[in-house]
Amino acid sequence: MQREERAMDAALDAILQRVVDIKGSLQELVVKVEREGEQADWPSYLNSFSVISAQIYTLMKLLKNEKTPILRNYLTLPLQLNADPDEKLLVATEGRVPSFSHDFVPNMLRTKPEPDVEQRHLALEAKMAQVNADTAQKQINVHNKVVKHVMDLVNTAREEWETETASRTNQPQTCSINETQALIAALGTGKGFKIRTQPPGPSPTMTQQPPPQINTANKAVSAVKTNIKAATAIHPYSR
Amino acid sequence: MALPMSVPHVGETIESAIKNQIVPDQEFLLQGSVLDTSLGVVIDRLRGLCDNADIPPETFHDHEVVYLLKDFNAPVTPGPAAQGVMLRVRRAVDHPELPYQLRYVGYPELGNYPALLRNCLDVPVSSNVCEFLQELGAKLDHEFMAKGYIMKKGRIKVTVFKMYKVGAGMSKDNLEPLTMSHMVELSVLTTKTDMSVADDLRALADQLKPLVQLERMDYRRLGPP
Repeated sequence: MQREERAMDAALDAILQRVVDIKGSLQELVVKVEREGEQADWPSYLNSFSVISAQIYTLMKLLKNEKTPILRNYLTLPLQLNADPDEKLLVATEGRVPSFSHDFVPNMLRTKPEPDVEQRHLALEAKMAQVNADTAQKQINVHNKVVKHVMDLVNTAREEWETETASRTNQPQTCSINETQALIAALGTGKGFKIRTQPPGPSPTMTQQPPPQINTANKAVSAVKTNIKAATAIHPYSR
Repeated sequence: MALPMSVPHVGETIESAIKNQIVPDQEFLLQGSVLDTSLGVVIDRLRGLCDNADIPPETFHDHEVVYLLKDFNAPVTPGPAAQGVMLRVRRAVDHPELPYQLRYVGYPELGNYPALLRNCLDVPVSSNVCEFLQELGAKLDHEFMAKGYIMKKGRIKVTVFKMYKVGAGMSKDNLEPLTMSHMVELSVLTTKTDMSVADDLRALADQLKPLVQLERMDYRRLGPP
């Protein structure tokens, strides 16, 4: 929220600056016209016009800037409706606006909605009058339930997404403590490897024989516990 | 580790031990693991951190057989004596001409070290060491395959490997992995007098955070096998 407020303040300051610039250049133009009348210099007019148009352009750019909050979403409300002259306003506007009233700003202070909006409003009101109070109440309840349900769905979805993105930005797991312990236990004590209870008949690995036969010897040794038949069958060098 | 690079190293240590009468028998160790999915990232990082970053890391494929030497006929008494001595025999499957390595590791020492400190003795042996151990009365406890990469940074040995079960119907190519992770080990051999190298170890371990959490975990605390 603070960020939005700060962004709003910054945007308003910038807009105010631009508007003040435009006002200044408009004033210059007005003065120029009044002073020189019909003998005025056309190119100088063009210059003034181009300055004003550039300033309006920058103002538009500023309003379309992505850092600017969407001003349409904000409401401005008049805090005080007074037909008396307001001194502060006079000072701020250099004596031009005595009061923020309907004479000066009819559009901003209007309360009557647009014609088609007004039509729709009237139609809705007529419909409302027809509907029974009970059914209306029931419809309201159902509507509330549906809205609550949708809100719950949206909230749970949002939480899921947030946790998912949070866990994804966290480091993916590269090591597991359980595996570490299992490996260390295996390396240190032989946990996890088959423990031979019977002593092997032939010497298991280290003879002068070439490696393939060592492997078959291994097979015999390791298989002793589980499959005795296979061991005696596989190993050709027994006894 | 039965590797080409360790054999001259062992020769040198034997010579230096004979000359100086000092054998580095203490090992500082830090262990951690990384999931197979993130292995590439860890290897790249280690390549950058370790020596010889321009060549691809050396791979190893070892078969380790662990023997337990204790009095099997005596009644089981509590205490470390009854647990016996674990002797590890490692051979390089991809370099069968290299000697086997017989390794003894002791229990981790108590104390507030940055890494796990334990007694460690590495000896290259001939290929009939298993028969010899069995004649001594040791019994085969378990065996596994380890396949992975080895790198070094100064005196620190960095290994990243996956442990595979060796069992019935297993050939060299048909291995069953133990977990879905690779084990990452940082170790350095030193003597009792030179403890400063543990700080280097810890520094390297910290470089691997948060990909790999390397810590000193005492395997005895992880329960009986």
